[in-house]
Amino acid sequence: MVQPRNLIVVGENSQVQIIERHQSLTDHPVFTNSVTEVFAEKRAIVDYYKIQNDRDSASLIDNTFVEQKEESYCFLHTFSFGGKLTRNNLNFYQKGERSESTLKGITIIEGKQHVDHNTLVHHTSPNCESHQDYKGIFADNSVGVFNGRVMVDKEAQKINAFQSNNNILMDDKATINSKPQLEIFADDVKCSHGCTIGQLDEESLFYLRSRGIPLKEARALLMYAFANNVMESVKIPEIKKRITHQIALKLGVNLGYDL
Amino acid sequence: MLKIKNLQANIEDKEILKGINLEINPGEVHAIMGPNGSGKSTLSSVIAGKEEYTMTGGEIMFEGEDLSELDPEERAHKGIFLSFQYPIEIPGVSVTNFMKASINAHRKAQGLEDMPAKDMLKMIRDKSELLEIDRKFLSRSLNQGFSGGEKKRNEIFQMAMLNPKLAILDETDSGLDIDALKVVANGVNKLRSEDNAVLLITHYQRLLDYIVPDFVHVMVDGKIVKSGTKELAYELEERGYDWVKQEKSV
Repeated sequence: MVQPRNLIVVGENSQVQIIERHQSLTDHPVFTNSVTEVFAEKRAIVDYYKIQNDRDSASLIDNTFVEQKEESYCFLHTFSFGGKLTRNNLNFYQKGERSESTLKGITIIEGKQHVDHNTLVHHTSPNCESHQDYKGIFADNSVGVFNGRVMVDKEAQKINAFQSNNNILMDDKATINSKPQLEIFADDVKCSHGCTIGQLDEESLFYLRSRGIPLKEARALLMYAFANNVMESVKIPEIKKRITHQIALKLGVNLGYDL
Repeated sequence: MLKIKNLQANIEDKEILKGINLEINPGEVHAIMGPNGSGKSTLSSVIAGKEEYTMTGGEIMFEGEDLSELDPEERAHKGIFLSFQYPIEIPGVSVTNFMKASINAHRKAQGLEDMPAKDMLKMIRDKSELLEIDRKFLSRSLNQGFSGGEKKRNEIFQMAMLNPKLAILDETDSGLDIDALKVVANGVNKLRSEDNAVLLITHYQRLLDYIVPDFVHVMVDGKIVKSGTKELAYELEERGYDWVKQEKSV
């Protein structure tokens, strides 16, 4: 059992990029209980990447708390591709005007894996924004959870808060439980949430197949495309390349990434 | 090349094709015209192998081989290409990557290695020039946010890349302004040869001014009721479809 604890203070006008990854080296069961606190001071920019691609014997419970002051920007990407049980508890507290939070995630799991995304964005100040975009592809008996909460206090007027969760279930026994949630006490805000659960579009599959792309690859290509638009906001080219490569590998699709 | 005999097909137990006979030889251009709902698009989808449709009778032979049991991708590998009436938008896959996947799938089916990136880029450049396609366009997501004309131009670009033996153009002229129509028709004409054939499906004679057919067939209610040369198309433009229908019922 591992219990790492991180405290990250990002001072005024400063910028940081963080990549977090937990990797067990053997197949012994490992349980990681991780706590991270991030304090983003005025005009700080935080760009945080969590790569969760551990062995099937490893479980991870991640608790991350982010507090944001005026005009700070925080981006957090979570890539969940492996592990027995992964639970992400992300809590964002916006405590200053014109701050922005972006939470994105790609989950691609199979077998009996379980990935849980529990997010909270608490808007306490006016003129702020938050964006959440989580995509999931679930095969075999895997289980996914998205429980996203956005709270807007009475004082937090002129907020833009968006939340979206799209999922593809590959097999009959794969499960996704999705619960987008908005609690709004202000009266002048723009908030939206949406969730979709589906299979791949037959028309799109036929289109690809009519161009000679075999069914298996056509499916893989569509899944790749579905997940890949989350990648647009990834700012570190090496991470982008690596994750794109991992997605392609996981879906069994062979693409030229650099074209 | 393509021989269709007494072809019947259903969608969800609804009979749409009621006995089609059609023979297309290499080097020929055929046009199928007909009113809405006569089964024109169904015919093109059935030839391309869309699984929603069930063949209930007759046969489709392509170069002496029965197509009915083949998957859409296998038909594509044999040289059949369908230009879609409504090309599908695929966000996240660029035109270039899509073409790459498609070309290499064709090559794999022929037992060839992937095309070297350099050759691929050159081919993409050459063919996009033929259809007056802007380079920027090629890195955009497939059909996403394309105008009607761009979508159709992109279909013909794909045709140019794949160089099929039989190209079925399903209402490629719909949604095109006259300039775009000329570019598309010009592209198709440049791709014509002794060895390949084109099947045009259209409502209007307009397209046939630019791509001149050897044969024109009129389809009404799931059957080809009249066949002729390109003069038939002019007659249809002038007199509408009613006279063919009446002639048929007499």
